[in-house]
Amino acid sequence: MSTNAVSGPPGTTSPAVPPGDQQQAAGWYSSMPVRQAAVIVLAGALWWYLATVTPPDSVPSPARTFGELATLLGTDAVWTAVAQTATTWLIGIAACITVGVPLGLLIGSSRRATDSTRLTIDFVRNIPPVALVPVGLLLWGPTRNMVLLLVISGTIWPIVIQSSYAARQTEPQLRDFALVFQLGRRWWLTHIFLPGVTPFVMTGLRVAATICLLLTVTGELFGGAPGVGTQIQNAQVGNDNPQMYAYVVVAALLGLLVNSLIWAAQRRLLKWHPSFRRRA
Amino acid sequence: MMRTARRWLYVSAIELWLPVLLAAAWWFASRDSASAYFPALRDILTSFRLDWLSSAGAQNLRPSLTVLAAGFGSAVVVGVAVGAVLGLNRGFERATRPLLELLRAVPGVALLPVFIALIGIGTDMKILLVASGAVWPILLNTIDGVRSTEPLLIDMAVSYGMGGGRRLRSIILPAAAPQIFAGARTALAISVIIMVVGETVGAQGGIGYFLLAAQRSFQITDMWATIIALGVLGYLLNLLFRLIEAVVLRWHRLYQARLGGPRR
Amino acid sequence: MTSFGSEQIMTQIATAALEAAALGHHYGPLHVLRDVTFDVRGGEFVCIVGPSGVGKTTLLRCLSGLQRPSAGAVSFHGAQVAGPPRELALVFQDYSRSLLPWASVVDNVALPLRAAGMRKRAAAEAAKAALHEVGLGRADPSAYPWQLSGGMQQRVAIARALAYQPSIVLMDEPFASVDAQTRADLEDLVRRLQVDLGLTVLLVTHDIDEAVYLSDRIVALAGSPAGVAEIVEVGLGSARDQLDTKLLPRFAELRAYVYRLIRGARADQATGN
Repeated sequence: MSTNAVSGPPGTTSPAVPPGDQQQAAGWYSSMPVRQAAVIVLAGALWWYLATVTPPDSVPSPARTFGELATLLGTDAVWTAVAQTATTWLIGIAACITVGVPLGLLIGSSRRATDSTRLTIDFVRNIPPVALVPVGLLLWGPTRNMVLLLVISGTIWPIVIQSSYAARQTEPQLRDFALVFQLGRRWWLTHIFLPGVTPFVMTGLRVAATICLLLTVTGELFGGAPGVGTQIQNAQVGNDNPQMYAYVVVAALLGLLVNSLIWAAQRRLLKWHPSFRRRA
Repeated sequence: MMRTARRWLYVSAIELWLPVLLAAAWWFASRDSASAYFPALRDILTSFRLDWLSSAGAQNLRPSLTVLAAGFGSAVVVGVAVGAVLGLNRGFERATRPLLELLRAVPGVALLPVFIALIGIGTDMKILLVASGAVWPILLNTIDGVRSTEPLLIDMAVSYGMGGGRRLRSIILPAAAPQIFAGARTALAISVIIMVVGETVGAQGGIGYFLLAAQRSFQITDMWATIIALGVLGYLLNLLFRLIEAVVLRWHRLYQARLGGPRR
Repeated sequence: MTSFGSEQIMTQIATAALEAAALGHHYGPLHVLRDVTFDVRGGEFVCIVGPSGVGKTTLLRCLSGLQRPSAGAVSFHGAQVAGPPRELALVFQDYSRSLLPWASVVDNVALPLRAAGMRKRAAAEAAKAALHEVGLGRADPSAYPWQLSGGMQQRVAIARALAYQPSIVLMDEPFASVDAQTRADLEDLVRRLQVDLGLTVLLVTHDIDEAVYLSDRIVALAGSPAGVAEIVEVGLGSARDQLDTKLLPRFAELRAYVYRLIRGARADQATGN
């Protein structure tokens, strides 16, 4: 979704500002990290305000929530839940990449294949994965397999579609180059086609990774399979708001972890790509 | 004339053979099905007709579509407005980025219990839930789109004496439109998912409610019929969206084609 | 050496490195090329010049074997070709799209060699030698192409063609994407390489000055569909200089002559076809 280029260190102003002015303009209090911290503090204050004006215990204060989280971190329950959610996520995304990327690339490489599968994919990808929760429950009950059904049915499509799009984006001049310089199929594939499709495939992967976590938590919340989602649900049913909020924070932290993982993978695979170059 | 007709025939043939084949395969494979979980396609289609292609079906759809429209609509409005502000204001955007990344990282569905505790299980909660999930792709894409407006265009606008509001309307938003639409497309898919999820609580009805009810009362054909209905709904919504996009972004489609078109 | 031996040598020199015979091409109802016939002899520098949009790209694609012409044939050393022949190298106009952005400069130049089976180290050595030949001996070989200026990137593309050791180099408006100063430097580079290494070069351009400055013969295209208006002998000698050569009266005459060929034939065709 967001393609943040690597920007300079926080606090740097445009190079056109002469150093002298820069010294004067930027005091410690207007540097970027401080500003970012200030925004977060403000959000925290808003949260605290909400906690006080709503009926007692319906919105636990930040202190209460993080206190609960700290307590939980000492118990086994939260780590088991995190492990379960993380494992499901991993299996889901690995399966989708293994099947989805080659499938998408194959489909995209052939005009006929793209045309033939267009309607089918268009229809099937629009079936909200949540709709499959009842089917999964019928087949497997509240288990990881049920969640995986959900996860894969939703995560594979962005990967297939983006990979298919990627395969069509090969630079025609590079095709001519490969022909004239007698590169042959193997070299074409490994040195031109695959590096060329990687940026687009990564975009699909980014979206897919987020959807994968979303669906994992959804499956747990609704299907009752063990994991962070179930804990949230249980806490809500048991009216334990601080615990519920604490687990939501855990879910958010997992989300951040997933984002960082993908970001790191992108930086490694795409260090040559324009979006990672020095901004002109 | 003949050539166009022949082309249409070819296009239909190549796009339809696979779906038709799959549907036929499903039909025949399930024809004598005695399985409780996988009834015959024929029976599913009967349920589909009765449940969804009827006035009862329209009734059931109304709450879903209301939630969807209100939730997605608010997400668009808020997303574009806030996104434009943040996109234009680099410093402000960087300051809020960590907070936004944090909020975005919460899997939307995890907020359902939170919202229930806060607002209850009424329609308002569902609309808010949909909006809270759908706003992110729109917001982020709007920021990206606004930020990457060709600076020359803005210089040009300033040199012609266009004020901020005019610049926004005539230059920046149109330039960001392709990105915004891409974000909106993702947001639409997210909205449908959250809408279905939201309807599993409370009793306002809707297609998600119907789905869960069918499963709980073991009415399997109705359950499958509803799944198909969800697919059709999603497909139609997407189609509608693509039509609107094709009209609004006609210039962009042609522009892209020109860029990748025949050399000299 | 008997006279028989000298005849053999004469025949070898006389066999065309590349020959286009009655080439024609159309895209559906649109005829782009009509009856294009010319040859390029070994060690020659030939320029194809014509106005933009006349069909030079199509002609180049047919000549390089990337496209089958609707009519006529292309032969290399007497043998008709179906696809791009091994002895041909092509330098594209848009270096940013024909160099791999994910590979370093040396890897870019070495790629065709490695694909042909050369070992990594040997290919890298050959690549570095070619880079030195085009004046990039001191540039960082592990840099990415997009980290270099436009002129340097085009030199990398030329080095890639050189390292490939072709017997004929085709160039598709190679200097159109660089500024005038860089263009002058690159023109001299290509001339020097052609003379020093005895290459056969066929360069397509819309710039008449460039065509006259660089070539031994000019194939002037004109008309719609495009055909050969005339093949002009340049005869300015093998030592060319950006200042001195362009001051020669013959240069101006050739320039005007080619200009008239291209424009004149077009005016005729506008009424005729």
